[in-house]
Amino acid sequence: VPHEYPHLAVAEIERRAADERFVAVLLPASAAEQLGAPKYWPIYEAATAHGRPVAFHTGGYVDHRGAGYPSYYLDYHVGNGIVMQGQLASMVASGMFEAIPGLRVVLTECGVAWAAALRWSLDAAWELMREDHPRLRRKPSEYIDEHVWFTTQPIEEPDDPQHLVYAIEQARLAERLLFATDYPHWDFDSPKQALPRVLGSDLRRAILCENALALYGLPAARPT
Amino acid sequence: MSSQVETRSEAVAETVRSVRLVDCDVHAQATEAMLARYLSPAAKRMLERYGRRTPRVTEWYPRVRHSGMRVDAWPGKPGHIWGSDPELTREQLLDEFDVDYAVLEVLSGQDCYDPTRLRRRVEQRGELVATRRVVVIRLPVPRDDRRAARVPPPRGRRDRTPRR
Repeated sequence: VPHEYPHLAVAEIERRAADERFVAVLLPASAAEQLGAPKYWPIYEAATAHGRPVAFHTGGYVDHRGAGYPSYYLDYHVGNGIVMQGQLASMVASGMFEAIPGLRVVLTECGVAWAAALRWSLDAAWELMREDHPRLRRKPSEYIDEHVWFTTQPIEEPDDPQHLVYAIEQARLAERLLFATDYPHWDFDSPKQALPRVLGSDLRRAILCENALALYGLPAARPT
Repeated sequence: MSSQVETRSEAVAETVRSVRLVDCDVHAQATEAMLARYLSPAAKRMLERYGRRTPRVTEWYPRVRHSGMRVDAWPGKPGHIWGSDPELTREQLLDEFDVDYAVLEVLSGQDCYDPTRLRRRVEQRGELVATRRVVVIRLPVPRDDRRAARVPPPRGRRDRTPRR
C-alpha cells in the first residue's frame, strides 16, 4: 500500500478487505519517518479493523543500512536486522500497541536472535525512563510478546544448533516464528533443511505451519 | 480453532489433507506489462515514457548481482523477471517442497529491473559518452600564452619553442 499517503493506503485496504486472498497489509521496513510515527497509525488501524496483520519487509528507504553505506556485500547482507531493531523500538516507544490493542505486526526477513537482546535493553531502560512514556502501561517486552511475529529466513545459524533453541526461548518466540523460504533469493531456506532437528518436532511443526495458520486465520486443511 | 476443520477432513479424507507447510515470505513480481493492464490510459503512457522511476536493486550500493536472486529463478521468457512467472514459482517452490500456502511479498515498487531495458540504457549511455568525447575534442580551447611561457618545455625539446 502507498504508506506515505496513509489515506490512500487506508482506501486500498478497505477496497480489498473482503478478498480473503489478502492475508496481511505489506509495508517496507523503512519509510520517510520511523514506523512508530503517528502518521502511519491510520494504516495500522485499518488493517487491524479488517482483521489483517501488518507485515514489514526488509527494505525501503534505508534498506539494510543503519550506519551508512556498507563497503561489502557481507555487511550489507547481514545488516537487515539492524534497521528492524530500530523500527521495533520506535513502534514500542510510540505507544501504538497501546493505542491499537488488536494490532499484529510481522517482521519479515530480518533475523530473530536479536529480539531477546532488544527486549532486555528496552525493559531495563524503560524502568529508568517511564516518566517519558506515559502512554506505555506495561513493560516493552510485553507489547512485543503480544503484538509481534517474526519470519524465519534468514534465521541465524550458530555452530551449535542448540544455541538457536536458547535464542528462541530467550526471545519467547516459540509461538511467534513463521517459516519462510524467501524464494527466489539466492539464500533461500529449504523447508527440508533449514530448521535444525534440535528444535524438536513440536516447535518445528509450530514454525512450519501452526503459528502461521493461527496468525492469518487460514484453514488447517485444504483440498488435495 | 481447527476442530471443525478436522472433523470435515475426516469425513472427506480423499480430497482434504492437513496443512503442513506455510511459507510466509515468497517474492512475486509484476512486469511492467502486467502492471499496465491495471492502469488508466494516462498512467499507462506515463509508465511507457518514464518507467517506474524507482532505483533498481542493481543500481543500489553495494551492487547486488542478479537482484540478489537465484540465477535459475530468472525465467527465460522475454519480458519476464524473477518472481514474475507463477509457473516457475510453482515448479521451483510450491511443488518442489509441497507448500500448502504461500504468502506473497510483492515488492514491485522497489525493483523494476528489466534486463532488456537496462541493456538499452547502457547502449544509449555508450552513445552519449561517445558523443561527448567528440564534442570535447572539437571544443576550441582558448590559448593562454602567459601560461605556455611559464611551463618548461618537455625534456629533449629545450631548443625548440613551444608549438603553435
